[in-house]
Amino acid sequence: MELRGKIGFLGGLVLSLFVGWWVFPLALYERVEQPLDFSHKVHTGEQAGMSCEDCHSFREDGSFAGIPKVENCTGCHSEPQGKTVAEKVLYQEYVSKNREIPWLVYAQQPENVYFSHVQHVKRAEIACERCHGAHGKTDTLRPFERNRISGYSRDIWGRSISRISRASWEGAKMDDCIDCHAERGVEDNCLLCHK
Amino acid sequence: MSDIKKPQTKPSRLGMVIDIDKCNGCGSCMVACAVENNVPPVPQAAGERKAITWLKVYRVSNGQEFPNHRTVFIPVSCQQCGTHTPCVSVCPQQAVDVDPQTGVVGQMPERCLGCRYCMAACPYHARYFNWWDPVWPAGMEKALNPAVSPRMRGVVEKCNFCHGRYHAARAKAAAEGRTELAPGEYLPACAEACPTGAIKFGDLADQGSEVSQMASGEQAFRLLESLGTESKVYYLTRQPWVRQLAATPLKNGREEKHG
Amino acid sequence: MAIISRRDLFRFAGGAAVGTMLSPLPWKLLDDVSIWTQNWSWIPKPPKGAVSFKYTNCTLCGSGCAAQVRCIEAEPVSLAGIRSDIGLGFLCPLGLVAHHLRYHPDRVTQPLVRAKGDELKPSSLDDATRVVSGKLQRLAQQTQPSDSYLAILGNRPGTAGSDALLALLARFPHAAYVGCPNDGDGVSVLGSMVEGDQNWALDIANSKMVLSFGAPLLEGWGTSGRMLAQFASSDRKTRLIHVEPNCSLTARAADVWLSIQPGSEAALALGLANVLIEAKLVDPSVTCPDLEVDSPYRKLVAEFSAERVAGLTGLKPEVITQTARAIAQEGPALVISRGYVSGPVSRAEELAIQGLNFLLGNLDRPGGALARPSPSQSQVAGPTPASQPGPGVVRALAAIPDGSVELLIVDASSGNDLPPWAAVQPKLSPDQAVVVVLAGLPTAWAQRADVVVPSPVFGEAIEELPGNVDDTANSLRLSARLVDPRPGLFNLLDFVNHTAVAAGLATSPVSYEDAAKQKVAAIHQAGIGNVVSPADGQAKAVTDYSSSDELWTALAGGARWENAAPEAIKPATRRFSLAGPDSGDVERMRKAAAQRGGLADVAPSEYPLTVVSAEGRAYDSKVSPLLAKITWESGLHAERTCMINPATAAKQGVLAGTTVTVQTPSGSLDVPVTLSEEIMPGVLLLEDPTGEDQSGLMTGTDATCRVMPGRLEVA
Repeated sequence: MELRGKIGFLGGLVLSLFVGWWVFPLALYERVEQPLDFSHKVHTGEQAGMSCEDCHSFREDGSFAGIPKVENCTGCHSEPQGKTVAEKVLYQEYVSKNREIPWLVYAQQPENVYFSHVQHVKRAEIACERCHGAHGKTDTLRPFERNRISGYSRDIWGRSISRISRASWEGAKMDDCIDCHAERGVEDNCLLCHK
Repeated sequence: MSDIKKPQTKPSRLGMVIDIDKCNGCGSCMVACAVENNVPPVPQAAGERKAITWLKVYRVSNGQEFPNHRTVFIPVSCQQCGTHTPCVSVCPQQAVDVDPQTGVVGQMPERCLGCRYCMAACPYHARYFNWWDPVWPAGMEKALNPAVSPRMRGVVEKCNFCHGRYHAARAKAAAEGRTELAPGEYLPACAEACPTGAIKFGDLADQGSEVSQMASGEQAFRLLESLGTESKVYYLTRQPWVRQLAATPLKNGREEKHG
Repeated sequence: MAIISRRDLFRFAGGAAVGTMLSPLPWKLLDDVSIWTQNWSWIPKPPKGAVSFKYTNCTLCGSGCAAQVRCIEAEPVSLAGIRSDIGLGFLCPLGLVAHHLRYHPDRVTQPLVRAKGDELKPSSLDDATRVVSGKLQRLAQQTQPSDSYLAILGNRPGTAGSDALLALLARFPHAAYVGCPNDGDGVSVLGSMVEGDQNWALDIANSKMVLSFGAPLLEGWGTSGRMLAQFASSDRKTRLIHVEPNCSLTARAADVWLSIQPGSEAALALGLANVLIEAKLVDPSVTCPDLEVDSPYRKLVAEFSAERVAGLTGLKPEVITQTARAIAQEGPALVISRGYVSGPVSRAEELAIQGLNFLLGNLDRPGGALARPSPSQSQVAGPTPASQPGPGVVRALAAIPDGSVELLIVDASSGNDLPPWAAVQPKLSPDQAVVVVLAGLPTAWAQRADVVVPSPVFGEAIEELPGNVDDTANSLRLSARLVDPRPGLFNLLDFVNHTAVAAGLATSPVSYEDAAKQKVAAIHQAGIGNVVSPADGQAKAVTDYSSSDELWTALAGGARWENAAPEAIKPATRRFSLAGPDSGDVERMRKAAAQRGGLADVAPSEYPLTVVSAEGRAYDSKVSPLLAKITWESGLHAERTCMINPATAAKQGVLAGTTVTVQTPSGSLDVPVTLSEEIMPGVLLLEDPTGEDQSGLMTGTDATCRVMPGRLEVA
């Protein structure tokens, strides 16, 4: 092939690689701010000294309360506890109106997925950090990076588009669940995790 | 507490025993099934063929005239075939599989591409297709059961022995530090709703369980046994004409075992 | 060369294609698009939340079965019967979808008012109130000789709301408060045959044998769960002889099914009485000593020998003799009639049937008919002033003069039956009557109303449920408030109170809920009885509740109060009285038996067939879309159809599914046909899910009937 042809080909190649590897991940996600800048560190640190289970608790029947309702916050925040903007918003928009905070859930799975926290936390004794990272130590909530096509968080695929060298908490696709199940030799029947 | 970290639960063979002599055809089981599993209503103009009834109670007659005519009612859901599962063997998508732990044949509508090969393969006609997206009257979607996800159009669905209740029972056991479910801890909606107690559910592999004893009794039979599906839904009756009918394939008219 | 040629573009595209394949773009896109196609926004996502269980009693029919409600946060998502105490009833298909009722698309949400000659139009509460309170004022202030009536339909005797309404009605010179017909109407006739004002309950749970004259025991009669548990199984302890022309579910399950000609129940009852006496299977001087040997009843019984009755019923004489022997010697059997299921009882027929209970000595014995304090007496202790009806209040439809009712208020809000329109309409004033109907759904009654007032449905308000005919204990059950109702809903008492206040007839009347609370407080004060918790079946004495509020909370949460051994009402003798207020009873019984309820009077050439109303519970798929699963989606139960024996259909030239016109001397109805070998040849069985005869088809001498002469034409 003549040089000109090679340049054309290479040009296309380089451009598409650039678009595919760099532009595409950038454009695919839109950053959405959480409704409230919640600081886990403030709540789990020395000041309040709470643990994960204090808010993200299990009910008696084994179901997981997930992200707590606003009445959980009102328990302590029935009056503003500090002077930050977040505190003000919490009180004015949510606590005083008894309105639920529309959190964007990083770990949100599709409707047909049944994930049982109690099986993984109580039975398999897996630490929260293994799947959720050091979320409990963060001082601020990172923006929710919403996949424009599927609507789910970037956390589900993982930060890196190539999925190479991921930490254990980066990625919650079905394959990731299956991999861990296979590693530990745990049952992996379809209806176990799907509803 | 020591058994909670056991990697697997003890394998069981979940099955059902339905006493035809106790069934009075009320249909409570069918309605309870639809409520539990968010089975959508179907437009009436479409007719019975396009209806979705995971559990269907058939009217079966002895073919005699009045006053010797007798009807029995036979509730038929997925028979949870054992050794030979026709639907599993034909599915191109592996959208249905057998759970080695419980023996339950689980249907995954999210994998299904809607070819309906399984519907043709199922000898009990226990599989149903979603011709439409589900539509409930305004507001009623708030009263749906969150333990079972609603299906979109174009996929096949069937009885899974109430997997939503199975999940809840396993979660409760785990919360209490157990891996094994106690007998009767998990009951599908139909067994719970039957007013006469005609539907019994349990572990066929457990020799001491009520269902295993009933299933090995003289009155017990299965539908279309000669096909060799080794299904896990047994029926009981003292009436010989009913047993005969269950063994034979189908005739025309209302008194047949499939729609 | 600066011009870019087509070949350059192809090379570029080729490179781009290779590069795209080597990038994550197409693969990730595929994955994301497939997820997108599985998550359409219009597929509902069930709301998530904490699961909790509540308890209540179902209000979709008169049985009031106990239910456990599974809630997600505050929303009921499913109901289940309570198996541990089958005496509480068990949910039928209607109860299983009771929680859907409030989302019914045709729900009555605001008052509707009909201007004269026009149709019902949405209106306001003020308008509706104005119409009704104006009438109330007129009726309260009327003086002699005017005798315009205020009539209220839907009395549930014994409930606090009913007692409170009776007190209000005392202000009106002419008022009527007519009860909901129910399965126990036959037993009320029994009550009219003895002296004393008491209620009768049937102790079926302890009966060794039951002779049922058409009572649909397995199709919703009495406390349906208890009946099913007792009779549906083939290894039951109670023997069942069931008398019915067609092979219904109950007939099919019975030990003995007597298939008689429609309308010949009275003849069979008198024939059995005849054999009991003639063959000395009972000793009437012991079982009912007040019944004199030469009494009109005994003389009537003597006319109906087994042979004569065989001719009237179509049974063989020896079958009648054998049956009489069985009910005397294997029981004695408790004789049950159907009560109001598809139409009012025929008094003549009931008298004949209940006569058997007297002869068999079934009164005041376990397994028989037991007397309980009447609804006008407090269930706890003694009659209370508020529950005494005023001098002008009549309690029976028949006692209202024709054309005298100016204001009719109908409680069509819950599952109880109402008298048929054909029985009520003659009582309405021809030009002045205003009909007010309280309804949650647009029932047939609501469509005849001048004013429709929206009422709460299951789960939206506390409702007191009266006992069933097979409840031998005095009990108090409530249906719980599970959800917050929309504003503007009224139950009967609260609406009447509201309009009475507007009319200046009352100032601050006691509300329905407060009346019920007062009743509970009276129970707490008297310290009688136990409270059974549906969660664990444990009984706790009333005296263990420290306050009446605590007792109320328990009852409002689905628990049941019962006084299992209320003071028995037992006068020295039981006077068997057929006289009643009208001594023509014997003549009517004779006619009912000899003429098969009037059927024999009609020329067979004109009406060769017999039309019969179906007795069992109807599963109307309009109550919830999921009820369609057991009607048209499976063909298990028939909706609005006429069932015919295939041989009869062939003779009439009718095929399955054809629409025919069924005609009787009083009306006609177009309905599709279903063929069934369970129907007696010559009989047309009408399944009418609305539970009311809208067409006037079944209107006979008793205002309406269950059995009529008929013919059919292909429409």
